[in-house]
Amino acid sequence: MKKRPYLRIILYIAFLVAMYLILTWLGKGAKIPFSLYHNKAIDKTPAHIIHMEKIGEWEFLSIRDEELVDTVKKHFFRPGDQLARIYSGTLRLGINFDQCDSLWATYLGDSAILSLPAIDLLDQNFIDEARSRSFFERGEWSAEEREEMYQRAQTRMKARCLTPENKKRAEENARTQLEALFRTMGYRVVEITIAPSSSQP
Amino acid sequence: MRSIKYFVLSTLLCTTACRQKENISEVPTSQDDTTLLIQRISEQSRLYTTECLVHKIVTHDDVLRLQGSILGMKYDHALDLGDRKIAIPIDVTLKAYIDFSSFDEGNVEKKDGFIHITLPDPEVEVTASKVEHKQVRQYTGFLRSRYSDSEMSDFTRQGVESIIQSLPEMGLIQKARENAATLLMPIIQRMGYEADHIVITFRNDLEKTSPVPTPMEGGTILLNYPTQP
Repeated sequence: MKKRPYLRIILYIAFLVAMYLILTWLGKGAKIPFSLYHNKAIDKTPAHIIHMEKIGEWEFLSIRDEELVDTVKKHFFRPGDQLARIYSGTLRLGINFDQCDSLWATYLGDSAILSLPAIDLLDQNFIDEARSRSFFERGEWSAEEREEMYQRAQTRMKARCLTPENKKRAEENARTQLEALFRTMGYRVVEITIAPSSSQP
Repeated sequence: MRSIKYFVLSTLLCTTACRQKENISEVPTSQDDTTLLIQRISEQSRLYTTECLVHKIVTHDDVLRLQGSILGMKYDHALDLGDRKIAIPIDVTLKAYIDFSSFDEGNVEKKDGFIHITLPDPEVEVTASKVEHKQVRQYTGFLRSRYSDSEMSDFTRQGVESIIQSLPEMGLIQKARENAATLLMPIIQRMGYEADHIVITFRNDLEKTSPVPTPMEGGTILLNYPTQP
């Protein structure tokens, strides 16, 4: 005979419901005799460091951006599936010292002459999915569809934030900050040349 | 009786036909949209010196339990078909930086050919986190629904928070101090100072970071990471 594990549970629940009804009927003032419990906390698992490396990125402007990305799948006979997520990311604009040549800073008496690369996005990986949140969900969504939404949020954020205005603002702040820093170090004249940024986001 | 059988059969055929059509219509008719919600711009002066990529598999084991008491007898029974599990692999990028926005004359001291620079202590920030969607696995029992997008987002957030809690064990602050010194030393040397005439210290400790950095303990971990999204 075939074993039916779910039958046992159904019978068990039916028994509890029957007991509850009997006790209520007898006027005993019975409370609900069962409750369902499930945990919401994640398990304890180890975290592995993939790499820890030296970098030299000087950030002069940060743009925190949130984008609502919405996607819909239409069906013929039933309501369409819909997923809306709010992606959160911080785009950091600045100078990467890896792109500087060895003579990016030269000194002549009380003058410091700085020749810096263009202001650019410091890290292409800027979306914080842990801070992104679900807004609306109906239906089932595949990993490919979720990945596609992530990519779309990334493209959209870059288009909105990497504007010539923001790059110019970052460049102006770079000049202000570096001039102040080198004046603090004792240089009265600070000449700063920053390579022009590309217009592409 | 025969007419009832024909009716049931025709209904089944009709339903199957409709279901096939529904599957076909799923592929081409998707619509996408993006909307800007918030954009906050702020001027900074932060020197990021260390990057750390951490991988974690966030797991959640959700056993549905039937608990209660009946006629004074307590019971706690795990429902075999009410179990569900999920594994979410995440990659988290942490970066340590020195904030130069409040750096001024008070941080630089020159005396007898020596230069002593006091830097603010490194701070750590989560700059990115990414779910490996294609590697997510979930198993759902007969009595349970699949994990929702909202639940998965919550587990991802909890995973990042647990990584932040384990930060002191990673030695990121110590590495950030060493890297900051390594980055700044050549710049100061080009100003005309001998390597052994340069002293770099950090505000929150008294240990000196000289050309060959010495091991240091402690440090401040400042994370602007919200506990709630």
